[in-house]
Amino acid sequence: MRVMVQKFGGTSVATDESRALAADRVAQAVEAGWSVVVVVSAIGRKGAPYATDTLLGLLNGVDPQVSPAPRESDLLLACGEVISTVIFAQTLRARGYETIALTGGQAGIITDYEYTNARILEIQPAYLLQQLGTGRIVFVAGFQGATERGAITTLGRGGSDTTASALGAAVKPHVEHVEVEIYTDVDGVKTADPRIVKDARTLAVASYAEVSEMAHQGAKVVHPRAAEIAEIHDVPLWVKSTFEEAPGTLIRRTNTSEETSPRITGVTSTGKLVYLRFPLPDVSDTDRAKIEREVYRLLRNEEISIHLSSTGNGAFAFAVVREHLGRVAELIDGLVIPGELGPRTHPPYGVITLLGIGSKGRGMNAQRTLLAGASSLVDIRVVEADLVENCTMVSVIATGIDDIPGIFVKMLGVLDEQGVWLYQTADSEFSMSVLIREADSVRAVRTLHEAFHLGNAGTCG
Amino acid sequence: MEHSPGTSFEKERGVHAIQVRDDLALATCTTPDKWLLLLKALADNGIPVFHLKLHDSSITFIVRSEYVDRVLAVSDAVPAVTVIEPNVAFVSVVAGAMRDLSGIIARIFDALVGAGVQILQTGDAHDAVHCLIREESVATAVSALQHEFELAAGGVA
Repeated sequence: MRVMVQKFGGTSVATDESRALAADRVAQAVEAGWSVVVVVSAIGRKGAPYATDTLLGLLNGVDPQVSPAPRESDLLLACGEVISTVIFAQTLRARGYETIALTGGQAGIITDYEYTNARILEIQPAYLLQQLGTGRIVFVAGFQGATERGAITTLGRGGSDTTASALGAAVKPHVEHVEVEIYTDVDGVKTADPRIVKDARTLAVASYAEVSEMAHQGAKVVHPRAAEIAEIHDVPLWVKSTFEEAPGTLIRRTNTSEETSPRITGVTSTGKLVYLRFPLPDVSDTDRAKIEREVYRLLRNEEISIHLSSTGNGAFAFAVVREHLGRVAELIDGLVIPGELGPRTHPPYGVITLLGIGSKGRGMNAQRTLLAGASSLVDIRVVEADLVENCTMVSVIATGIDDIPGIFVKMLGVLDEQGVWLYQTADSEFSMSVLIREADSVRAVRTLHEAFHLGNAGTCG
Repeated sequence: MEHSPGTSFEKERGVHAIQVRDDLALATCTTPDKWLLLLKALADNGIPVFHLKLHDSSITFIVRSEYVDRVLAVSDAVPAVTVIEPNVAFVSVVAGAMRDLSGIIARIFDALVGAGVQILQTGDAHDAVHCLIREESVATAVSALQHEFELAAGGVA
């Protein structure tokens, strides 16, 4: 048996017209001799009646002060995929195909108990394989599984991609050949967001690592979790368009990539970020570490993630997602941190650090007033954070970075020539990133895409 | 119904390894208007640099120890002022779905500051947080991080 797992996103099944095109893809695979498993997302995006965000809005709207139980959230959220799966199965049934629609749990997806972000523990594909063996097209609701006791769970962001990839991995040991196709509204993995770069090229082949890195850095084609699962189990993953005839992108192991590594894969941008820099020019390393630790502890308590952290050279700095800035300011502005002790015999008996955040520093001013009486006893060190509110991160994705001399400096030089101010940089095995003003983001992506010859007219690395 | 054997699918979540990369040097260029020229010159001379960080009036980057003499020679030629701190190492905390996990860096600071390890530089990627420390502190740092993240002593790559 040759199995094709096809995944269709919400926009692919949102209207009669798009569903008809998606159904054509399924029918083509069946007619080509594949046994087909179809994974379906909820219909449409926010605002559509059965979209995940709409269902969540209904639940949260009952009483915004009372958070829904995660278990019940999952029970409701899973309905969106169940509805679209049944409707899409009926679309193929109406064309004369034998179909069966399954929930994630019925398809054998067993997860842990981490509701709203469950991890797949195992998949028992026997029933799914049996149904394929009867000649049916098997439709599986994406984004969901079930605990071993049968409670419905959802898989978190990118869940339907994850379902498709995992089902491909699950059936692989039992069939002759398996491939997974992710259908979306673009014709494959692009070298840049085509809304920003008109001549962004569709990659014919990409490695799991490239696609995973691109997804982590903001590209919205395949969820990195799906790419990781496909890589672990060596399942070929295609990204194709529901709406146009095009070969798409084949994602597979690096050593079979179209381009010999190294190569520059693409340019991405992501995140609405705020950059905070705390200048500590005359502070000992010990005190700096204490201050930094206290700030990170507070952010941890509020589950606020930090990015692009940097320390040393008389400062520490990091970025947070912009929506968290208000809470970050509440936590840090006016924060008092005891520092090194001085002599016991005479003042100053030590130093305390008072943190403030830019123009939001009302807390710091209030604390400064309160501390005025202590200033004859201890040194009060006032540290105001520099704040850059409208930042974003632009990344160049590449494989074999160590083997492409000067790639990072070329990126920095190109942006410098364009007058793009760089606040911070980061580099990893597969990417180089810069933190810049959001207003410069489009120009930066276009410039880098051109500089690295990534477009249709270029040589792609 | 007869069940097929189950298949394990996903990467582990959370912190699952501590990695050490030693034999490194920390370079600080304190000539702000020359840093891009310096980096270009280093690239032209085939010297790989990584973990570049921009500071108020300097930049820092990491080179492998074997390149230190050449870095200084290139810097002199630019000319730029570059100071080298030799014998440093990266200790990295590796995790799955790092960006879904808040607070890892706080726990790293708790562990390392608590153990008296000076953190010279930090950096993060989607799957790791890196801390640059002096080589002499590596054993202490690894032990503290293993304890903090409840990893077995063998969990160092």
